[in-house]
Amino acid sequence: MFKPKLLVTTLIALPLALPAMADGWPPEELNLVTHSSSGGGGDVMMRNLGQTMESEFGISTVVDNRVGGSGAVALSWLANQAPTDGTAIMSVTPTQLITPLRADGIPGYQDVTPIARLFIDPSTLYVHENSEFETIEELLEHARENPRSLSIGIGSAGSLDQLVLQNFEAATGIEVRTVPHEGGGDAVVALLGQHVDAVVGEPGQALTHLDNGTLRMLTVFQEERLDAYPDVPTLSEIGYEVVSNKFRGVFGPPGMDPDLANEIADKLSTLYEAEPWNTYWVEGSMNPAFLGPDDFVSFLDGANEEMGDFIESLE
Amino acid sequence: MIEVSAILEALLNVLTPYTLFFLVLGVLIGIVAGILPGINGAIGISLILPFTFGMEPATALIMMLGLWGGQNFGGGVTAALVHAPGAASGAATLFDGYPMAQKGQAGKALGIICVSSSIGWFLSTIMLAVIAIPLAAFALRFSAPEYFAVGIFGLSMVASMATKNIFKGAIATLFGLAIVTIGTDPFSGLPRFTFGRFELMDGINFLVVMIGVFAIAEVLVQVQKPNVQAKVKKFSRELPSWREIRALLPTMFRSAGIGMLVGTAPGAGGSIAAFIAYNEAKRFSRKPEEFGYGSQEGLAAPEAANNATEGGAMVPLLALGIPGSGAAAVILASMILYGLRPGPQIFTEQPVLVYSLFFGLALGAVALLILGLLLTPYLALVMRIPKPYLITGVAGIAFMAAMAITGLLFDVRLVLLFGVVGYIMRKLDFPPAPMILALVLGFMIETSLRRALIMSDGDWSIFMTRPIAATILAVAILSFLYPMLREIVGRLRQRSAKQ
Amino acid sequence: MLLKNVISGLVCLVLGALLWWIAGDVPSFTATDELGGRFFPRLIAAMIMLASAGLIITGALGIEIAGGQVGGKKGQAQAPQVSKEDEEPVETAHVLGVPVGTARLISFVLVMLVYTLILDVIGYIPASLVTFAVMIWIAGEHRPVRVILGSVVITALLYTLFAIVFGMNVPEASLF
Repeated sequence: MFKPKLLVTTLIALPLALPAMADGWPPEELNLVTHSSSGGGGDVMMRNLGQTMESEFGISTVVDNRVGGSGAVALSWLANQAPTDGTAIMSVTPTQLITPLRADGIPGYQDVTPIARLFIDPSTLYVHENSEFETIEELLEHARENPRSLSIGIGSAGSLDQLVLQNFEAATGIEVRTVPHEGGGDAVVALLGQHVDAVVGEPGQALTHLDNGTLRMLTVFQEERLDAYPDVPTLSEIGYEVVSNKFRGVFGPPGMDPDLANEIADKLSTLYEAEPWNTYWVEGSMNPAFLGPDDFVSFLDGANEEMGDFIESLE
Repeated sequence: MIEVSAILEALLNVLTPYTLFFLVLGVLIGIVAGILPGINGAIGISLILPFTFGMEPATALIMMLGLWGGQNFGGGVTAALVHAPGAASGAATLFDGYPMAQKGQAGKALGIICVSSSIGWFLSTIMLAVIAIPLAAFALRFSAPEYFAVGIFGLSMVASMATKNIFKGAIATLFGLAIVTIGTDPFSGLPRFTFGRFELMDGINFLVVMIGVFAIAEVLVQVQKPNVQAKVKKFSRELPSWREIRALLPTMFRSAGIGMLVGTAPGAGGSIAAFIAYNEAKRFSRKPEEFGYGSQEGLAAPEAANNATEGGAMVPLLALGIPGSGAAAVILASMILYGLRPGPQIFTEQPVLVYSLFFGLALGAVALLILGLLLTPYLALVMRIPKPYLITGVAGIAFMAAMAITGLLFDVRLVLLFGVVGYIMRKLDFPPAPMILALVLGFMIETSLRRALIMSDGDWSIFMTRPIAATILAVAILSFLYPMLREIVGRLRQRSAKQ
Repeated sequence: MLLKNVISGLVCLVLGALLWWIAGDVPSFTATDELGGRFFPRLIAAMIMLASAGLIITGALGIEIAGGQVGGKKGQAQAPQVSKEDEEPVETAHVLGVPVGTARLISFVLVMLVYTLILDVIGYIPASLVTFAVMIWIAGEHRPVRVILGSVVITALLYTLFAIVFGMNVPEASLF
């Protein structure tokens, strides 16, 4: 009972697979490509999406992990080899902006077809329950009086977390020590052990601890407060404009028919409340932030410029 | 606080034919995934994920845990039979497993791997069930200075690795550390030593180096040897005797403890635990000179340790909701899919589920023992394959593994390059083992050094003022000097005996 | 004088110096830490050069300092059981002036190199079928049927396990 089905689904996933059915998207077999390895962020997203689409549309899906080169392998595959008939879509995160900016010859979002932005991962700042800081103002006051006395953990260097933290420092005129980790989970562990004073990252990686009070969220780098944490003020409420654009969405191969891209985007926009997709973003504390193909491109233009400036500032 | 009714309910849950069937199936798939280099536990678990929807959460998770444990065993099998680790955690198994299999004791080698894997797994489950919460609290005291100290402690074992020339051992270690610095600089996010190649942006995977330096180099050594058409080597499928196993029990217990502790720290992993356990086994052994030439203790230690890391990794996973490895990350993601949220409260909110997982883990160890011992005689048949086919097959697996690990053709070429490098190293008596050790530990050493210095704002005394870090560092320095001191003391004794 | 040690020491010395030099391109501090990405590689490079110097000097003096046998009796660690090697016959044949064993070794490396180059040109299965057959032949199996059968079985087994069962991506042909 185990292998035959597996064999069939995998065979279907092979690039030799038959062209998709003509009557609308999704096709009977959908290939969900991601640059993350099993268990990584994009992988989890695509597995949830696949599960959702299987139960919604009665199709079969395969998650295809094209790992390597910080997303370069998946991007190159999408730009050069992927079928353009809508049978393959790829997960995107800011990684797909950062990697082409860092190395030459890697296709960027301009070389493929952005289909839809699905979520924004809110960036937030949180501290340990034993921390002396009850509010973001207290933290800012302390940081202004004692430059470089606070250490703030982030998931990894050269990421959007670091960009947000840099903008936060610049906007509020403080100086802190930035401690990069091997991913958001590690940063949370460091905060739980009180080895750093605060962490800038998405709430999803620390959900249980934020809910049971071990960690305390002080501020949100977003235009609006989070539904799940209505008591936590945004930074703009206390007078500083720092907004993060950590997005999740999907890309398609270059030369994709605009009507098809629109159709895919429309279909995806209807899924937010379906099982288990609804638990995915609620548990990850993400905000549905749907943008169709055209809006997504203009959003990416802005985000890409910001990332480019940031990466130049690192060098 | 222990709820008897919850324990009973969990036991009844697990002891259904339905759950047991999927547990055994999980262990079996895990063994296959482990045997194949480049296929790790995370890949195996993602693969069965779609089939577990619709199962009871406990059943699904137990199946995944079984797969994870089976994978740790399978990695050692490949290491012993064909000189390539089937999984990262099998890296240290190679040093004594392969010589033992080459001596014609393939059955014995696999038997010891199987028994010590099961025992390590079982013991770590018991420790997990009894002291998960205090262990989690202990793990949280580990931060960059402590990880740095653990890394240095692990590296100190190069001093006790047998090398023909001490400088060559040092050079091999240092080149291993140098390879680790290739890739994206973890603190600036900028590429370092990548020469503009995107293939190098994620660094060089240590399994790629290891498969080259061990498997391909061995293929090259074998093909050069005369008499390739040789009669099939004599080999025995005989399993280890009860007496041999009993003699290994202290090693297994100690190694399981090491594996458990190292596994609990989210920054370390199975391969690091296996190396540390290997070194400790050598230090405690009465016959350390057999290490590297087919020592049974040298085989039992890393296998018991790497399977024990699973129980260890369950501590931060369950108690903190933090995955310590790829496999743990997939399990965490599926727990969330099932609407379970790991964290300190899971022990009180979902006691039945937690106890079910404990029982599942314990039974998984038993399943591994039985399955492993049943499979061993058949796995050992690899030794009967005539050499032309065997070395071609090993080369094929090595290249396929490189494709599976990163999906890059570039890495397939790297495997070949490191194969040639490994061959030259062997011919010139540069030991490959310290290089692999450095590759395993190097990243942790550099990043935790730099992170610790950010935490202390550039003050190096941070390594002396934190008690855990200072203690481990002191032990590391002692264990680095220990072989030399012992040597000097030995010579002085000889001299005074002569006089 | 141990020529092998002196030469390999020199090579390592050069490699160490090279590492020191290219590490100069890495910023010596980053936005987050003052140690920077240069410190660690430079430290390693310096130690490589030191160890290489040690190897050269001891090599020139004809000394080998054996390292690390914890508690072992010296000398005993040198593989007690390698007597099997003795039974193997010595080959004296030469191919194009090199001993037969070395010829096999070189052709093996070359065949594998070609394999890594043609994988994405003609695809995994054809490349493997051809390469494995050649490798089996070089390694000493000359019966045509067995060579072909061996290559087919190895390719099929690897493809089934990795690509079909575990769903790994294998190189596809770009030629067609």
